[in-house]
Amino acid sequence: MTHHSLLGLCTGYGASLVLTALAFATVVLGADGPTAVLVTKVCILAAAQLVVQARYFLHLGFSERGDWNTAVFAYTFLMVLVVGVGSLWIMNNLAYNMMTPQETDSYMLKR
Amino acid sequence: MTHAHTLKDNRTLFGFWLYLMSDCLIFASLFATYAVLRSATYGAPGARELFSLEFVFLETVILLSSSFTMGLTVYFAHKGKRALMFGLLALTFCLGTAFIALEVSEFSHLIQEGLSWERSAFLSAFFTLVGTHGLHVLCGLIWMIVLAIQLALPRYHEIVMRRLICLSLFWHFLDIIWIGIFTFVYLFSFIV
Amino acid sequence: MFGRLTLDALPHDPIVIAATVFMVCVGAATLCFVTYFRAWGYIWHEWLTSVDHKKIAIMYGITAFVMLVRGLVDASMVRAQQAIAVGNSAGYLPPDHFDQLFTAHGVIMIFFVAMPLMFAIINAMLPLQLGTRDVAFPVLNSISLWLFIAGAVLMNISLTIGEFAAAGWLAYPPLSGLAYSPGVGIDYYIWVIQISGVGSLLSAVNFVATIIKERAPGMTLMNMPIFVWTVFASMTLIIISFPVLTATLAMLSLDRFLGMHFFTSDFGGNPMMYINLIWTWGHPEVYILILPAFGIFSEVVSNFSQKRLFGYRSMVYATIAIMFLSFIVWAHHFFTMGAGANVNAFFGIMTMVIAIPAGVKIFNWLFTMYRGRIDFRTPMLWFMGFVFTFTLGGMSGILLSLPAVDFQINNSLFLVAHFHNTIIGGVVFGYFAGISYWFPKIFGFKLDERLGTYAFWCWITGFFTAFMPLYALGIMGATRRMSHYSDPSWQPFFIVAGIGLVIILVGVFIQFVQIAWSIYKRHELRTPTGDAWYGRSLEWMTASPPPVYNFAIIPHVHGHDPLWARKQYPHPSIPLYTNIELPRNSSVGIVLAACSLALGFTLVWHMWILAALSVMGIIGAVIARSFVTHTEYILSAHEVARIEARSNAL
Repeated sequence: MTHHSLLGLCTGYGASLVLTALAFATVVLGADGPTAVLVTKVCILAAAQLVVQARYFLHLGFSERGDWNTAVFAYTFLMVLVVGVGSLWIMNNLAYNMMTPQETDSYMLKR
Repeated sequence: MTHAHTLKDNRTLFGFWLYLMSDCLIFASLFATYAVLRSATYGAPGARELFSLEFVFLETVILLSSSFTMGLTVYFAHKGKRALMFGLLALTFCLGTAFIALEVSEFSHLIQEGLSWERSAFLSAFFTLVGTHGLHVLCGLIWMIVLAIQLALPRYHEIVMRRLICLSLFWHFLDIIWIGIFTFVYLFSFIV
Repeated sequence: MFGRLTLDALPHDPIVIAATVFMVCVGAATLCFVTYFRAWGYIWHEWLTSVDHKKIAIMYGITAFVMLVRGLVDASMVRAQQAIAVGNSAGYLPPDHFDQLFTAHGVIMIFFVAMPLMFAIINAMLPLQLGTRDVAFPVLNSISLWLFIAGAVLMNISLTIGEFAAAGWLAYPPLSGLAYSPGVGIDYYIWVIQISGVGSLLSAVNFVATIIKERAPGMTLMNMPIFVWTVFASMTLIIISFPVLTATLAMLSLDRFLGMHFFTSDFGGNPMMYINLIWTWGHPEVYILILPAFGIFSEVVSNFSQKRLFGYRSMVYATIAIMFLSFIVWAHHFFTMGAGANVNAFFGIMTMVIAIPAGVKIFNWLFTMYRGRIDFRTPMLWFMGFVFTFTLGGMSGILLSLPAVDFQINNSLFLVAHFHNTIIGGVVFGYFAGISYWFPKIFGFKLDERLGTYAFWCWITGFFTAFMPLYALGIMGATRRMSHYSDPSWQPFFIVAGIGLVIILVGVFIQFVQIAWSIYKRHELRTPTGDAWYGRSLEWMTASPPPVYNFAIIPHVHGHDPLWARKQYPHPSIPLYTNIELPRNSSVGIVLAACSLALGFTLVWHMWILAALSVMGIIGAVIARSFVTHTEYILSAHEVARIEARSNAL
């Protein structure tokens, strides 16, 4: 958490700009492509930018002697996934079981 | 810096980092709620009709740049270059204020069209998630003002570096949360 | 200016009026007492503004015991109503009052008895066990304490001015939404929990930072006492789960204050999301409470079997396993809400799996006792009670973890019996064991042993008498939270349950007598050295009570049970004292709490201008505190030597 380099900061900034532009471009230019592909691309770009900013702005890494901050961050990220994915799984399951007759019809038609 | 000093810095930074982790979970809850409620528009316009990608791109670049200038502020503070430090901190403040101004204009535009948070669950979730992020940014701006005063006064010399690093952690963290927002709120509204 | 507050908010019901009068009298008597003895200066400087973890611990404990009385009164009224209200009898409580009672009982017992007792014990013992002088952030510690007290005060104000929530301790929407609970009750509930919740979160940050950064030199993670490990796991759970509670209640309050539609039944709201999120917090919460109790038992069993704890490593792994697993079981609280079989099956299986590390712990304690020389004094009695009671509660939990079974008995009295079984058998017995074990360390004299034994037997007899009938009632079909029921064959069960509660009340009364009697007899009960029970860990090395700096010289530690090692291989040395830097007292905690209390109250009553002023007060106090530089003072080596010369440390 102490010794930054100017080069590191600029690299982080530049990479983040590029990743942001790519994400927006993916959506603007490829909006008629298959949803799954678009979603995957955008998520990967977001995850990449997260790693870039964590590394170059927050100086999170594995080098410094048993750095607790990275471990704590990794654990928190895992918990965020559990809460997010878990909630979505449960709520989607509930929504599926609670569809009105009209919603059931349109759901079956889509399949 | 004396040995005791580094220890105290270490402890404070770690404690602040733990608090930021708890803040992640607040945003996780708000993100999850947004994901669940994003299609509950109750007849009102939904995400795709309401959002403008150019606008969000501008906000994103501004906030990202402010994160960069905040990093530079800390860099020059470490180097002892006080003039550069103050200048970059002021620039960070301006960029942050610009971001807030843009967000307020987006919100007030929606409200004027009758699409406030009362109109549907989707709008409630949107205003709350993005608004909570904006409130954090606002707190960061207030913090910058207080810290700028303390950076200028010599009697806070010993403790102020630690506080500046805490502020920079906070500010970088807010940009990371924004990655989540522009991706899962704005970009997703056009592809899912 | 006064929002929706009118004189109508004052109580009309005779029971509530009586309670108000009692509360006001006790409060006034306390104020007069302090004034008569001209003790305000002493109280302010030595206690209210103190940042010493030991004093903060005592203040947590006192508040918790006061709130325990209120929680028990609520429980008594509920039990009495249910013992009477069968068939044609409507009992003595109108349903709305009954609903407020069980809601208040739950909120008080969890947030204002269990949590503060836990924080009291952790505050008292964590720095001492770690061989350090105080927690990482002493002023933050004081702020946490005062935020908790502010929550408790607001809770008690709700008894007098207005009403409390009547939607259960978790206040499910849409019932808790504006449409169905337009009054002030739910708003009080929200702000009571939000204010004290911030205090809990800050404490957790404080304790984790202390454990990671402030251990005595040589104390590696795998050398820490198991109590410290359980505190670490519990506080990590707080840091991860409490924000979910904060966010969820914030969304509920946005529904109520700003007309949002997160959890309303129209405009697209989804009340099930509230239930999902609140249990994402709610399940880790019970593990937050039980893990330190497990840690206390590890200390007590080892000490009172005069043997090293069996299976240190497996205890650590079991603790961490419980910490991880407690985050992936939450849906078992709403198996019946409508999720499909695969979701329910996953969470059901995970719930069963979490019994495994709990079992590992119990077997490790039993193996510690095996071939040890057991000393059955009060702390060990609480452990023995725990083994029987908690294991039973765990087994009823396994029954509930099967979704198919849960469909029959969810939200019945079986469930109520199960969670009281585990909370009383586990959490309450554990904290009582901790209090009787560590009381002599903090106060310098032991609690009367005979009265402690009587209290224990009252508690365990009372518990079984009060809750075994509830298991039966649950299987017979009794739903929870009913103020009246029609089947007269149930009444004997409710009456027996009421008798059980009376036995518990006798036990609690004996505990209060025990404290008073022990204070009266403190000279006879005084421990000759700081080592009251011939201990194994660092805290027994200090004087009883410890000096403000805990350790005059920070000890170097090698391996487990460091004090035991020193006793086997003593190497006397001439101590070389140095100046010790200590934190100054601060009133920022009280100021922040007062502003938070004002904020909560004014928001409840829609006094918007005053609420805005309260917010500015909070921000102003934080900013003002940041400008204070003179935050430490030095205790000279000479002064330290003087204190050490008179101390009763080993």
